[in-house]
Amino acid sequence: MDELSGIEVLLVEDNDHDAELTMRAFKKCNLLYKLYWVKDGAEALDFIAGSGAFEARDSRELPRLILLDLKMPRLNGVDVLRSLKADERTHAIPIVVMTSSSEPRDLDECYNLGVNGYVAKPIEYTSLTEAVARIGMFWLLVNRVP
Amino acid sequence: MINVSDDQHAEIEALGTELESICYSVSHDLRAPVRAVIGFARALEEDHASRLDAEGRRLLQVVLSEAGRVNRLIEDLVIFSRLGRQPMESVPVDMAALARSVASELLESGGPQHAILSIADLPGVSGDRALLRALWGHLISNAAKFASQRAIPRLEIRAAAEAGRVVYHVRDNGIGFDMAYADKLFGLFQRLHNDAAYPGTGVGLANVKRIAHRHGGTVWADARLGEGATFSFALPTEAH
Repeated sequence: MDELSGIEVLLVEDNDHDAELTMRAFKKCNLLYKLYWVKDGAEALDFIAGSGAFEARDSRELPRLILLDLKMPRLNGVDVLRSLKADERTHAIPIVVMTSSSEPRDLDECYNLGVNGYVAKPIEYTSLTEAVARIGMFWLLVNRVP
Repeated sequence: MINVSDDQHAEIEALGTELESICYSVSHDLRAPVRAVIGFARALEEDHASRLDAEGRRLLQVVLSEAGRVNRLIEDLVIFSRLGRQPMESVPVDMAALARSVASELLESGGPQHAILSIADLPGVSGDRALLRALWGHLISNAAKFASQRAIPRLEIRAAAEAGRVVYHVRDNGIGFDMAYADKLFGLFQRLHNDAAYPGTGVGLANVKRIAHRHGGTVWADARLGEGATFSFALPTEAH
C-alpha cells in the first residue's frame, strides 16, 4: 500500500476544514513531506500500531512528527498522547498538539504527559500558516530524535 | 443593601460560574468555523483573485473584515469569561518592558505606522503577567485606534508611584469622547463611536476593568471630545 508507506507526518484532526488549511500551509511553505490525515484518536492509534483499517501498513515505520488535535470523537488527543508517550516504541515521536483550546488545564495535562509542543491554533490565516511552517521546519528539519 | 442568604449567595455564584462557562464554550466552539471562513476566503484570494473583478474582490474583503471582527469578539469574550474563572498568579512584572513589547507588537501588526509613541519609566508591580499583558493590549490598541486619523498620532504612557499604589496613564491625541458618557465606557458591549470609523467589540475596556479589579485596582478615564483621552489604572504595590 504505497499511500500508507513512508509517511513522515501524521495529522490527527477531526475538523475537515482545519485539516485542509493545515495541509495547505504545509504545501505553501514547501514542506513537501509525506503527510497522512486521520480523523480521530482511535484511527491515529490504529495507524501507528498497524491495526484495524491500517492492518496493511508496516507498523515498523513511524512518522517523524504527529500533529494532534485535542477535542475529537471516540478517542481524544489527550488519550492518544498518553498512550504514545507511555509506549517505549513510540515515546520519542515528537507530538505537537494543535488545538483551539488555550485552557491552562489542557496545557498542564499535555505537558504532564510529555507533549513536545503545544500550539493554540490561530484563527487568522496568515498566523496559522506561519505557525504550521515553523512547527514543520523545526521538527522536521532542525530537530534530531534518537 | 440587600440581604442575601447563604443559599442564595451560593446559587448566584453557581449561576455566574455557569454563565461564564457557557460563554467560554460558545466562544471556543465559534473559533473553528471562523477560522474556516477566514482561511478559505484567504485561499480564494490567493488562488483566484486574478479571476475576480473589482466588485468581486471588494465583496471578498467584506467577508474577510467581518470575519475578522467576529474573531476579535471571540478572543475578547474568551478573555472576559476566563477572567472570572481562572486562578490568578502573582509574580513581579516589569511593566515598562511589558508595555513596550505589547506596543511594538501592535504597531508591527497594522497599527498606525507614523505614530509617535513614548513610554516613560514605569514602576513594576506584582500581578498576573498574562492578564496585565491583555490589559496593556486593550489600552494601547484603543489609544492607537482613536488617534489613528490624526496627522501624527501620539501615544504617551507614563506612571506615578503613590502611597501604596502605582497609577499608570495611557494618553492619546485622538478624537476623545464626551465625559457625559464616561460611566458607560467600561461596560460590556458599550460603544461610544460608530463601528465603520473605529471598529471594536465593546469588550476591551470591560476586560481592562475586570483585570484591574482582580488585581485590587481601579480604572478611570478622562477626555474631551476632539482633544484626546487619557485612560488610567491604579494597582496596589503590595501583591493582592
